[in-house]
Amino acid sequence: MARNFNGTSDLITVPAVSNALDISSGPMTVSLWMYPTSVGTEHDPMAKWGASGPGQNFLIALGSPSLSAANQLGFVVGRLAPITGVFGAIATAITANAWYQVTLAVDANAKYSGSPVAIFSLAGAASGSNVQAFRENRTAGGVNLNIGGQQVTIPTFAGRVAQAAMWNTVLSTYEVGALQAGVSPSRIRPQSLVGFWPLYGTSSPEDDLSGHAYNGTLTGTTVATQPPGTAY
Amino acid sequence: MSTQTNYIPLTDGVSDNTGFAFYNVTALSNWLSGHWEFVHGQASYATFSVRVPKNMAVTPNASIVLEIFANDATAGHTANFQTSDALVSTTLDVGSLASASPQAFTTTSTAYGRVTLTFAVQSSLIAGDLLVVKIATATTGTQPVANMLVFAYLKIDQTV
Repeated sequence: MARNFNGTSDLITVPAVSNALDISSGPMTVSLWMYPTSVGTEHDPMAKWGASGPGQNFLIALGSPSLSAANQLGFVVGRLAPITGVFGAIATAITANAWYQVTLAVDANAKYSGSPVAIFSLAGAASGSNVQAFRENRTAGGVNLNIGGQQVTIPTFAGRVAQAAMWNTVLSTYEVGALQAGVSPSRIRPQSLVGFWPLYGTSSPEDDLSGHAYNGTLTGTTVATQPPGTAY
Repeated sequence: MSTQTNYIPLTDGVSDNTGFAFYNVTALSNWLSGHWEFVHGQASYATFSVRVPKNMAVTPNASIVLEIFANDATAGHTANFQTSDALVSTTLDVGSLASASPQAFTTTSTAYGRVTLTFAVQSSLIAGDLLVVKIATATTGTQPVANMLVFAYLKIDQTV
């Protein structure tokens, strides 16, 4: 199953200050499935990010004017301002009412690349990627992790999100490929999984099945069908 | 009472941190294959466990069997595989795993051709105990051009 967000007020908030989700340096990977029902204005599916202040870690944004065209997917790692963070977008049109798998992998120590990079990958109804040279300017604390939105006061995601996960390591392109094939995050490097919210829609709060119990507090949302082929 | 040879799948697989051994799903022509996958040309490993059956035969003839497939229709590409094992009796924090000799997986002229490698279990098995198994691949050999799909079993004789 998945959680459906209404695009205005629905949100899932996960505690991410001074815990394993508060990754302010080093490698990390974030992954989710999304099914936007509205494209054209900014709707952000997942973030640990704020416009200012500490705790700016990552942002996955659909249609953010600062990052991409209205129907494209962008990302930020670190701050946008005043220190310029790492950001980019995938120049592939996102259409409404289709499932997409999104992965943001921060190879801060150049484990798989010749130099530190952030790799943003899209699969599902459309595919593409964006690779940016990485420079560290994330900060700890500050804000929590939000699924289905960036911050409480900023437009949230319109549509469904499922299988959201976060690792404190960088996954290889092969492992990202497995996620795109529908393999559960729980089967990919579970020793480095710091958060996994399948969003089964059967409990409130939504359970974190990584073992850390960083459960997500619900504001609204309804239960929806899951992405196809994610029962592995 | 008779002796029967059975194949028990290895479970609870966990990869190393290389990113080159992972659980994956591959869409084949008529079915979806769920399996452990090892990236060709890269050294990596994954660890598993399996319960030694209570009705293990007096002479168990135990081995670890790997059925390996690759989407490579050129015969003669090779990659080394090796298994290691240790028996959990009183503590899960076992000592060094004992290794069997490495063996070469060799591709056939058939894509996804079936190749079976059989490794002797190194531990002295005790019925009901837990066997920890490590499956490793190395960069030696003329590597296949595609990743290697691995299905792993404990082959053991049981009294039935």
